[in-house]
Amino acid sequence: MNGRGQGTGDGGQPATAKAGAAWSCEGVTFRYPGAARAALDGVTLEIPAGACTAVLGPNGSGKSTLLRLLLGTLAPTAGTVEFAGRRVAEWPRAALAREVGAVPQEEESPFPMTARELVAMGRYPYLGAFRREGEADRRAIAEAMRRADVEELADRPVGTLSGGERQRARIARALAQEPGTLALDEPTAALDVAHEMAIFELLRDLGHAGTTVLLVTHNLNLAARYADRLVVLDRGRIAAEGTPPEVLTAEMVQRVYRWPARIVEHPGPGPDTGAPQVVPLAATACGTDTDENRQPTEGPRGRKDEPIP
Amino acid sequence: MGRTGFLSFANRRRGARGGFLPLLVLLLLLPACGGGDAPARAAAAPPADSAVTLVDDAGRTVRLPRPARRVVSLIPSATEVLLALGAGDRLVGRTDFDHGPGVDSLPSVGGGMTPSIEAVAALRPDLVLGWETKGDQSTRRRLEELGIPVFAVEVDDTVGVFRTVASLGRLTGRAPAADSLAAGLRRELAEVRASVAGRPRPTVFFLVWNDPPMTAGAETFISQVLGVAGGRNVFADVAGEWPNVALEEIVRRQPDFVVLPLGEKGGAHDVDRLRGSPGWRELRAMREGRIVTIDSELMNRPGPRLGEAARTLRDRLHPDAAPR
Amino acid sequence: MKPALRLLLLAAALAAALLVAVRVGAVPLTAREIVDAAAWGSGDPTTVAIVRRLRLPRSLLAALVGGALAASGAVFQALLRNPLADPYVMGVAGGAAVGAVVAVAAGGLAASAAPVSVAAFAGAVLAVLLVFRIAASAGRALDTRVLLLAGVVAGSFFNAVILLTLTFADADSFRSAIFWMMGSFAGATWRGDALLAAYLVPGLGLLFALARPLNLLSVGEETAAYLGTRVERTKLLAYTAASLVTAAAVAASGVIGFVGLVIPHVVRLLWGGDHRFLLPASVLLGATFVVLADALARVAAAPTELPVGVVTAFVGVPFFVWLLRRRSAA
Repeated sequence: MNGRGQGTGDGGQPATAKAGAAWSCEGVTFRYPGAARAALDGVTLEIPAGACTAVLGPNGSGKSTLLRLLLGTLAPTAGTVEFAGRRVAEWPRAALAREVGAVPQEEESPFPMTARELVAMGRYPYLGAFRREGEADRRAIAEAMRRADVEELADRPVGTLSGGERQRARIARALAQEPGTLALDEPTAALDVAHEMAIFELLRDLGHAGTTVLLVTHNLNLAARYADRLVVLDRGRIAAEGTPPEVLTAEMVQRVYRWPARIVEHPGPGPDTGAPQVVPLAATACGTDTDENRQPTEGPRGRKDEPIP
Repeated sequence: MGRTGFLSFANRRRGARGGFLPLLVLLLLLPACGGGDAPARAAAAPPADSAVTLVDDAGRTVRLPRPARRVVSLIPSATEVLLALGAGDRLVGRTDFDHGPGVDSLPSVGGGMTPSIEAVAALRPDLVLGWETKGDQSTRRRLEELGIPVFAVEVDDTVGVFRTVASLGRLTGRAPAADSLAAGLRRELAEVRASVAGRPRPTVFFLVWNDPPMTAGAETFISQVLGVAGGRNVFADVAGEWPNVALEEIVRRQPDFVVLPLGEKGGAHDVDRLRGSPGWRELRAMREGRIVTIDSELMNRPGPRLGEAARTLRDRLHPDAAPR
Repeated sequence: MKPALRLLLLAAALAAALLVAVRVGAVPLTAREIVDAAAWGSGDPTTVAIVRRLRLPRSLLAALVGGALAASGAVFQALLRNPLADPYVMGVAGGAAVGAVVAVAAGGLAASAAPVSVAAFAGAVLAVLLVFRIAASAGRALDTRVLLLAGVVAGSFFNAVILLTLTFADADSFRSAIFWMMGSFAGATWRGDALLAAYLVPGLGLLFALARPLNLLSVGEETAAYLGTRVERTKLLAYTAASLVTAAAVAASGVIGFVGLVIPHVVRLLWGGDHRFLLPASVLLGATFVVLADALARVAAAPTELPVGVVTAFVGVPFFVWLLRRRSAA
């Protein structure tokens, strides 16, 4: 897999989902109606199959938009998006749902339902409107709930669950789809350390089993440890792409996140030994930045030209 | 809408009269009180038990095999007429809005506008007097489906009263009583009219409803009775039957008299309160006591008491014209 | 308890309610008389007429309308993801009322109820189309928030039209229109019931078939899409079917409130929100409720009949509050 390789370009010929690229974007641009600038601007990239790819970037960089385009909820203003060699727009909804399990960041639930009912929704791509749940479905649901550690919550109404428990239930739902690909939008935002680690371990296991994982996350460090590839977006464009050591540099963090940081190596023990970890520094090292997209909640300005370690 | 001093809307009749055996006598007695509006044919009075065929006020032809013996009246005005005709023994049911010694003992079938069809049917009437003349006449339909004839009656004005008297007389086989009732009523009205002939007519404001103030238009029987009684409706020029008029317009017109119908709930204190209210205070008639209170029962619907209503008004508007 | 069994129990409750409704009325009849009249047509002709031509078709109409309103209420709540939605949220009530009021005011010597019902139905359909049009002109035709707003706006507009028409109508038409709007089953006929049923069966059938997609839609359109739902198609079918079902109910009996809003919530409180159960259960429970409400309306102040909508509200609200408190305490 090459970092900025061209797309496979054979749209129309269905390729096997497990070989080559899961997703392939060619010159994708998207502008929300009435927006001043494009949310995504000429993005070309490949999400390789069978690997875990994390999409990173500051707020407003276009991560969620990219995810929506990959999942077909939005159509690109320009460029093409293909999944398994076929344009996403041409995939029938149910067929795509059997291939890709998506976990949105949040969800409203105005009506009462139990956790199990929520997870059971994941079987809809197989059951359609009329077929009844069968043994295979029940097994898939039970297995999904076990892996996401929500078995004990099965009969609790979703409204009574904590944010983290709901997130795990949503992950279970995606797993119940028995997909070859998982796409997750900030799946651990509300989770405590143990649960967050558990989810990432789960993702690693899935990756070993051949599932393609696409992960949008803020957590640079966990992404560095668990993802095979990182894609960093900045203001709608790809700012960096490659393996974690290639991407996660102090220079990149300063350039994209506009915050000084230091990169250390994960001390181990374990399979993550040596993975780059970002350690943000105290604010005194901030330089001036006249970019209009500067976050208003940024730390106090420091002295100019402070050397970056 | 109900039984306070103000108008109950449930009763208006307008008839198109026709049929095989109309009464020449009645025809001769019909003055042009507003102009007759139906062709009438001459014939002798029918025998008491023969079939009756009449066109009702909705334009439908109603056939009875014989004069009605069990009548349910959904219209208080019609009930009054029946009682005045001496046909009260034919009544088997009334509405919630019918009161009085002749009817209190009868079972009620509910509101006149939405009676319980079941209750009506259970009384086994051979004639129902209904108020629906236009649009979706659902009560009529339901009753006719059950085989019960419905005769629509609509009274707007004095002409309607006479027509209804005649119709009900025919329907209950009491045509002679109807004739004499009509004749008597005409005599009363003629007497009142004559007693004020040539006199100057004071302007009169008739308060049908307050808040917002509502009065009677020129085509209503109220206005007509006022005319017979020697007055002039101060709002005769306004369009509509029951126009809402602004208080300041009433003040601007400064009617010579104000007529307030008072019902069971009205009383002297209501009148005093009105006299003192802003706006009403400005009426000279109010300040100078030229207020006519009249029993709302007398004036809230046209019926056989029209003559009495005309006399009462005449006595108040032209006290010196009343016969000794 | 299995859902199928629960539905059976609800159906039994409906049957019982129908029996009660035929038993009671302004005219006292013994059970014997009623059975004779209903089953064999024997007995006093007036009694037979009362039972067969008045009480039976009327109770049936109440059941049909109650079921239709409850089901479409549940569907609108799912589509709009809003627990406060009811069947009239898309302007159906306003449009039907305008159609009916105009028909009454212009009615002349129309001898049957058919023109009014047809006009009411046409008004309801036009209202829904208008609401979609308003929403479409703002961007996406089936966008939830825009539709809600458009429905509210259209509803206000229709109310204004009705008041304007009534201002210039004569007293007869005024009365008729007001009574129509208050809702009543008094005009029920076997033929009318058969027509309504023939119309409702496919409409409700379609909604039942959309139960699973509605489950998914009620947690969000994006999620539903991720799970394989064809969102726009589902929404279009559901909005259309629910609107037509509501329009038919309103055309048949006027505007009866409260049922479509509350019955689905009662079912949810008791048995959860899975639409595969919620929809048929709402139909049965809504039918039962309205049949009983109509029976009460007929006898509470006999022989005066109360408007059904008044009874549904007076009875339904305290019951719903009680249910809420029981559930919160549990």
